[in-house]
Amino acid sequence: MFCKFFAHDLRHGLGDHPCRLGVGFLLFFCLSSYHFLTLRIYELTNPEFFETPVTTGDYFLALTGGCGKVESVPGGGTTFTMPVLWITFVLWILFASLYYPFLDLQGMGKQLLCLSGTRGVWWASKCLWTVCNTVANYLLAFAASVLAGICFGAVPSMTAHVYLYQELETNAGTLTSPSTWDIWPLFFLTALALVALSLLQLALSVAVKPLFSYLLLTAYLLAGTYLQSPALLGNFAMPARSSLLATTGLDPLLGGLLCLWVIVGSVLLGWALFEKKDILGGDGA
Amino acid sequence: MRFCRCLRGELYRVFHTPTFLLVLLLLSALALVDGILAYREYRQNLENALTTIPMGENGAFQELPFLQTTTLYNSWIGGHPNSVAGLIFIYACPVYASLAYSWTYLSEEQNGYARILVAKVGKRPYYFCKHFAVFFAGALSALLPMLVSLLLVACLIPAYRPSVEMALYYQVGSASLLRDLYFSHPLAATLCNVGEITLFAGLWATVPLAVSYFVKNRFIALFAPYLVLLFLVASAGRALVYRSFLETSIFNYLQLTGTSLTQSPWMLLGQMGALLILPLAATWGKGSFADVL
Repeated sequence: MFCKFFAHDLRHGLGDHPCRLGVGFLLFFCLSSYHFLTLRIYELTNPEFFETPVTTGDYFLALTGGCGKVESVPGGGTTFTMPVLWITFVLWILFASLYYPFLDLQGMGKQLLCLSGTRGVWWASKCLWTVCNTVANYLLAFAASVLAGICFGAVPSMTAHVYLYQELETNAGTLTSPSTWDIWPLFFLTALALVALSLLQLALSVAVKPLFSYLLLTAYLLAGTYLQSPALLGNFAMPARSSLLATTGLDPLLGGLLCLWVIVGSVLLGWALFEKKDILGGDGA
Repeated sequence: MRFCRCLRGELYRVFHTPTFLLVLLLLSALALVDGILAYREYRQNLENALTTIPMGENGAFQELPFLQTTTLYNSWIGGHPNSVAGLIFIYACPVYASLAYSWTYLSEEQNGYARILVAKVGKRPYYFCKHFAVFFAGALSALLPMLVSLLLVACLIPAYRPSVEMALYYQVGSASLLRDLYFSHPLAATLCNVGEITLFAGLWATVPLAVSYFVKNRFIALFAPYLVLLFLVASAGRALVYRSFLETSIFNYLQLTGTSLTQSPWMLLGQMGALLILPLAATWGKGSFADVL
């Protein structure tokens, strides 16, 4: 029965929304393309990093990198610059997973719940759908950035160049490498963090309404852009805050463990809340 | 007469809508937390001055105590530099302003209430009353927490006049629109900033309303415009880096301490004007069509 529920969710939650996937692809392609404009500047200011060709890893890191640890400067200021590109990327991924579960609950999902007589299967199917949808949108963003890089002459590779520290607002004195980074571990950690955030959003949507869960997650992510803390999961979805790129960064293993805990906790808590939720009254949104 | 009655009804509903009240509660809590953190900073600064700077026999400090670095004007939620709460308040403004009341048109259309009202008061009065009520709710959702913040901080932290010699501590950019006013008449600058944020929140709340005339999915109507705004801000920021030093992000105009780029009143007016005219034009068009389905 679970397989039928999941097949229904894949068909209606992903397959029936080609427009949303297309818009997402276009959005990430455009945002990644802007890196070509900033490259022209870095080729003049840091020519030493361009002895090897620019890679698609550079384009991907420019899109998803975020900003480095916020540090104080003399006089009371900080080095903080809002990573608008990163917040757009993460909020889009969360938005894509936001509304299908509850629209389904108002429509056919309610019928399926009543006929099957079990809430756990519906909930498990929605959790798995959320994971698949998040991964699909993440891979779409990756594909869009790779395509943008290839269109502008980048070499396909997951090795990113260190000149990006300027774009990521990272302190040059804290870089872990003098020339390049291998960003494969960060690729997987970012995906895991996004899955954890999406499932957290799903669980919150059961407790408070989906509209408010998006507001709370937005506030949570914005707090994470300023404060570097393991309690703010957004930091693990931001490669510039990783100790693989900067010595002041967070441990990716700790990040992976925390994300797994949040995934398990969100699924269980959401299930416990959903078992008691009134699905017949109100519109749920 | 029917327009006034309809408007009165809409405004009554604004104050009795749970989402509006919940948004106000959350933001007031945010303003409270920010006020408490600002007071802690003020106390730390004061204790530091009292312990490190010697005082003369007449009780006056023998050196400059730098007490003006923490003042009312850089401690309220809109003017507080390096504040997470202030950051959330400004950057999440489009989200909570939309949540306050913008979703009600779709709800009324789906349950048929909109048709009943249109039959009673007419199409154009209904849509304009809705537009105004949404603007009012969005504006209030930003204004009331800011007033809470200002009043709380005014009770706790003295309103020292900002000093130009300590400009680094206020982090009001040299090219900021309100910079000169901030140092000459700081209360006026603060009230202008409050007005700016209130107006933006009110105008932004009408954007999801206008989108909901064409899109019937509540989530897309409320949040897609915010994602489009972020996309435009990111695009302008990346496309113009090192090519132009003109500030294009509306968020940096709203935050006094937001930027060091050159701010232009025309850029701000243009963006606010677009937020005013486009949703209003959509509302006018919606109220003019003779369709009955």
